[in-house]
Amino acid sequence: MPSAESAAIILRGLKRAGVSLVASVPDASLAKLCDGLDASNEFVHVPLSREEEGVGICTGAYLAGRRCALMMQNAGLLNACNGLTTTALQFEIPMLLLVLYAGYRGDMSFPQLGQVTEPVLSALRIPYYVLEDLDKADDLIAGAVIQAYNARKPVAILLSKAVL
Amino acid sequence: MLKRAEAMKSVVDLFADVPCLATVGGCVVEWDRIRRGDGTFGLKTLGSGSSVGLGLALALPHRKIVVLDGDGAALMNVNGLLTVGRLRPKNLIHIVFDNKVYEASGYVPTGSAHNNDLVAIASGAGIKSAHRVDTVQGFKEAVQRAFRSDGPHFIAADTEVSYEDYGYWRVDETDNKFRFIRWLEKLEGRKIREDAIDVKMSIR
Repeated sequence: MPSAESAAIILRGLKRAGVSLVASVPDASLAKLCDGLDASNEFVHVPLSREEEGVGICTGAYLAGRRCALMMQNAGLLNACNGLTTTALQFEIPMLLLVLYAGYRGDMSFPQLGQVTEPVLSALRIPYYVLEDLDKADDLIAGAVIQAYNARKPVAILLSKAVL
Repeated sequence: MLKRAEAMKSVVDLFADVPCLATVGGCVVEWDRIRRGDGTFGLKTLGSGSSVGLGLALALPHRKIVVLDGDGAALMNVNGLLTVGRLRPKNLIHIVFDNKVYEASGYVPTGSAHNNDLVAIASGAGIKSAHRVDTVQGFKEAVQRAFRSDGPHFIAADTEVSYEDYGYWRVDETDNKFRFIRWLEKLEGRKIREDAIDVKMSIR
């Protein structure tokens, strides 16, 4: 079961990195993060019906100065590929992708999805990092946001279920 | 049925300080001819208008935001309408020039020519102010109302197909983005664009 404590640590990391808007599609493992976003005054939370919308929402909010994140399962990352390519990469829009890594080592769900996730991110030339140790959450999130703004593109953090 | 350019001209006076998101194809080309300047962001991902519009509307709640869209694009991201209806941003105005074809993609009919009713879809999504107009006068009145009252507003305009060859909107995307941000900075009277060093310094 995902824990509220893990969610709080990740949300603290987002806040420290200056992220103030998070668009999301839930996964069972992301449910506590969604609850935390809804309960917090620090974030605008935009619950989506399909992940590609989130690329547009993060882009629009970025244009007015918000640092944004799109949180979803890796299935949703695949749903978002055109928006990531023809909007985020085409216009060079920084955003953080928080991607629940279904099918990762040790996870029985969606093994095919697990195997295509990193190759798809590589093909999109989106840098990515796997978060496997909650103690590193702050540094990884802050580092990813810095890289996103330096490189002017999305940067992904893959969340293994073990950290949630 | 109305002509898109005539409809745009009828309301352009309302748009002096209004950030606009205009869909790729004839929509952005015509709009950019009618309202010059850097306040238009040209959308590249078909259907992204409702979503980019929502993001901008949430980030600038004190300002009306207008999306100029087509039916093919709007139908490609019905999900965006669902989220607008769920959040109901008061300041978002979504205008769809509904010509019932993919005008920039060979005039192939959209679902709007075959039973799909965008106003019913928007309304069903929870966008209470969803209307269809079919004359320039009706369009002008609907847009005026949308500027005067809380939204979100969704306006579908029955539009004639234009057979003009618009070609590409010859604007580099990153240049368009930076110009748009600088235009917004001037309008808002604050710095918006962050460069890398600012990001690093602001990690708390």
